[in-house]
Amino acid sequence: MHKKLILRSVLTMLGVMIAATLAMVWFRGPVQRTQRWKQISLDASKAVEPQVRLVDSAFNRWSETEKVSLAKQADWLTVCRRLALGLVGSGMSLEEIRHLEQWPESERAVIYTEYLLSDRRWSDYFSERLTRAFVGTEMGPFLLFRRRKFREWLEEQLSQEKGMDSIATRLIESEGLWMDRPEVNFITATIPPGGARKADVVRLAGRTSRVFLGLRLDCLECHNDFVDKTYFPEGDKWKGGTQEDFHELAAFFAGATLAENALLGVREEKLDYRFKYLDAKEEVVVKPSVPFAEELLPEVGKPRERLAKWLTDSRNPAFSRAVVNRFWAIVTGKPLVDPVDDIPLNSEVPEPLQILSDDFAQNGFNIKRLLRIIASTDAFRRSSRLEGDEVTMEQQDCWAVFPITQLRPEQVAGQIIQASQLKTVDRDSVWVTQLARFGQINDFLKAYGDLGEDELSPENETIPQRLLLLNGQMVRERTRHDPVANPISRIADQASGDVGAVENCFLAVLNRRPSQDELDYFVAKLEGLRFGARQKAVSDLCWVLMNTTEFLWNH
Amino acid sequence: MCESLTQSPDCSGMSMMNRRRWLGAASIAASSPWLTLVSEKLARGEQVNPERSATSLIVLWLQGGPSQLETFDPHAGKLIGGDTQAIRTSIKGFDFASSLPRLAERADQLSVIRSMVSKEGDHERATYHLKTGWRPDPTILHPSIGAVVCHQLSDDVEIPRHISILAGLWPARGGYLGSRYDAFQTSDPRFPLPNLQRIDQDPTILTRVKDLEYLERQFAVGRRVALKETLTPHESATDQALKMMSSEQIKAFEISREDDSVKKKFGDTPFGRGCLAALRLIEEGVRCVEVELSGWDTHANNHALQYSQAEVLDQGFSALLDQLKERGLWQKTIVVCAGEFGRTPNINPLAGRDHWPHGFSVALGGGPIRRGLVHGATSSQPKLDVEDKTVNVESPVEVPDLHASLLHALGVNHALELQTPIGRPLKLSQGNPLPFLRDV
Repeated sequence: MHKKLILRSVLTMLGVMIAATLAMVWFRGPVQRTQRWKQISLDASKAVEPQVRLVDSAFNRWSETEKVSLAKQADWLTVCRRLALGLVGSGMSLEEIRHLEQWPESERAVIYTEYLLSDRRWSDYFSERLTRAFVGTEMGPFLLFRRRKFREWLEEQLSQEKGMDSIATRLIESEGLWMDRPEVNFITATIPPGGARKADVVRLAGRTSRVFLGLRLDCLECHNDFVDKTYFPEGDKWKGGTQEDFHELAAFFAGATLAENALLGVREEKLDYRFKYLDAKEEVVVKPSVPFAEELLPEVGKPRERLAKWLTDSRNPAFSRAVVNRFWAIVTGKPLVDPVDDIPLNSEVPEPLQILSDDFAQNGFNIKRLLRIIASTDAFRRSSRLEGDEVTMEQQDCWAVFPITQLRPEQVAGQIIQASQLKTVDRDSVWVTQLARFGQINDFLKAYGDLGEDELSPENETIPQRLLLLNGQMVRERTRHDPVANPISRIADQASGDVGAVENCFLAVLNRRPSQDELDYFVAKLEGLRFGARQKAVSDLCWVLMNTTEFLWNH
Repeated sequence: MCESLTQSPDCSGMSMMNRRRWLGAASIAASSPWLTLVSEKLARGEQVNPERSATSLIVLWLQGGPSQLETFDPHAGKLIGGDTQAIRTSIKGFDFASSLPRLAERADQLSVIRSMVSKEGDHERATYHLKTGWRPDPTILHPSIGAVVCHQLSDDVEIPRHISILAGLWPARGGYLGSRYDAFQTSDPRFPLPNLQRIDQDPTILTRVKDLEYLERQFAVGRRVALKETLTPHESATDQALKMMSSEQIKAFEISREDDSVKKKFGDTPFGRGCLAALRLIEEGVRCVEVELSGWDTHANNHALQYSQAEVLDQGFSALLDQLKERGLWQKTIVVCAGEFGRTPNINPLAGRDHWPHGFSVALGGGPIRRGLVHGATSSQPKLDVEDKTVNVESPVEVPDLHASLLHALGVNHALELQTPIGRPLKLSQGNPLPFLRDV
């Protein structure tokens, strides 16, 4: 009897402890998110206002030159949806919308920007985007390449607010073992399989020029430029790109070699780079050199250190342009100069890109500052439609209207998952939710198709993608009536009447309220329905919303 | 090719100026679409004979790197042959490995190239190389051969024209031609098509689609004119998906409609069923089908593993060949069987063979491809310590030349230049057709 009592007490205590732990885990997310909302400071956003005005003026001049009219500012929900898609790769949650509604409408976009930049989701999201640019999506050489480590390292750099110059320098100069110095994977990703020790200098030169200079020099590997694509400044003239330009750049990486003892990782060895140019009779030793702005290249130091210093010198215009153009594309869906990694030195870049690049270089290549400016510009906040008129391509091209672009696959997946939830799915969510999100996104990307490192190039939707959305498991499961897995169906149940149900579905999925016409259209479909029939109609509505162009595109 | 993009294959000297002039004219004429009709018409100078061309392509893709020594180039009884036994083929004086008895009987219908060489020894890069005919280039994604064929030849089918059955990690892609040329991926034909629900099986879909159309109209207000160009692909994908969901042609995927006796010939394996589905799809008018058989990456226990895969290949490939002939499709269909590379002549301590792009085999047949040909040879005693390992290969064949030959056999001008999205004109293939492959 006594033993039974003790056992019962122990079990009760254990039960209470488990319940308390679960409650803590369950409420930890909302509590932490509430704290973050409270801690938001607008100082940093205010500090960039003068720069935002400069960029706005440049955009206005661009529109005037093109003689096109400007669209009005989009409503705050549309702007905030763009922020969510651009900074963390998913739509807004109902929880976030309700929080923002407590603030004055004019401040909501700035507050949301700061909120998202205080969330680890942004560094997580950008680390994947940048990893694709830096090392691609290939699995790389077996044992010598750890993409996940590289991405985690990059995430850490971003969350610690390291400048882009610091990140680029560490990648270019990196030495050591790819496991404890994850940045070394930038080099080891190019080591050919089959026991080779030397990094592939051609791939490294091509990658470096595309990502950090915004120049596609890869064609120069085999021949001089003959399509008038590549020019470098030489004094007050321009000279066409040559094979020498490419291979001299590649020569900086010639010493990047795996140590004899592979456990020591990548070392810098004194090795010559030899190459036989087109039409040459024999190989020659190629000395490292840069294709332009030679005066910025330090005379002493290890080759890769010299290259990194030249590259990230604030007077090297190509570096900041390349990075700014890429970040603009990630946030908005479309680069200012397209393709994102092809910004010829001899052509005039759009004035807003130049202003943003100058500011980026003058402010320590500060990524968060750049993101704040982009998010605050009028160009980012303009409507994608004109009232009483039709948008033209010219208006889109000079950002007089916000250009609509198809969402990238991970944004589609992120949106679908977020749309069926009430609370934000983030790093503060319970681990089960995070794990489920991770698994579902991976499954979805596998079926939907991943754009790989070309994700910033526009792609058309394919039939399998459309079939996946029309009939696939993810949309089907996320739109069915399931109050536990899909809380949106619960809130539609609990909404005050059919109007509330339709409004909630629109807010959760499209992040906007329905127009009166839409409201009338869909409320009529719910009218008089009860229980299972009503649940089915709500499920149909969510399915329809998730299959719209509006949901699948940034607008 | 540079004057009018047709006349001369080289791109040097004076012709560069002509190229520039042409590019300027083409860009004005074509404005936004980068794959210009102008370029096509200009480039059609070197015409192939359509009457002697095949119209469809089946790629039997052996992912992982099939061993040439355990399949089409056995070297039985030699040190490098390991445990491989040889079997006589219907081509006098040539043997296959004993793992391919059925194909050995039908060898007189095929061409076998035993001297393929490439510079790519990594699975992903080599797969890209073999499927596209180009080595990976970070600035551009090249289209797979099936995508090129679909781009160049038009069809009127309601189902996808480019299909990859048992698609693995790196299925055929549309590359710079656009994702609409990506292969439509399916799994084992024993299972229903993924995400494909017949409209008539789900009445609610019609109501949903009607509501969807209503919302699409709302979204288009104020955006319609400018966004027509960008929205069209989305609408088109929706239309095509819905068309497919109501098409009778999707029955071509349903191998259960075949007689049991036919199914039995292909073998009770996913690959065998894939070959049967490929046959049905080609019969329905699909332009290019890829069927993948993986499991060839045998770094350990090579002989047993290669033999087990080869048996699956032997049954599926030979049944496909027979059925194509029986159904009158052999003259109009090219079948090519290849992997990304071969395997090393030496056997490693784990009784495996490693990657070997310096002399491997490809088998092909159908259409105007020559029959009963074995081209090239690999050495029985290869020198492995030399830098240029192709010294061990007699009459080496480069991957781009194989691609050019396939395109040529399909009536596509391999030398046609397209203006790519990166502003660089590229030929469909950088190789030249192999004259010995052409049936005379």
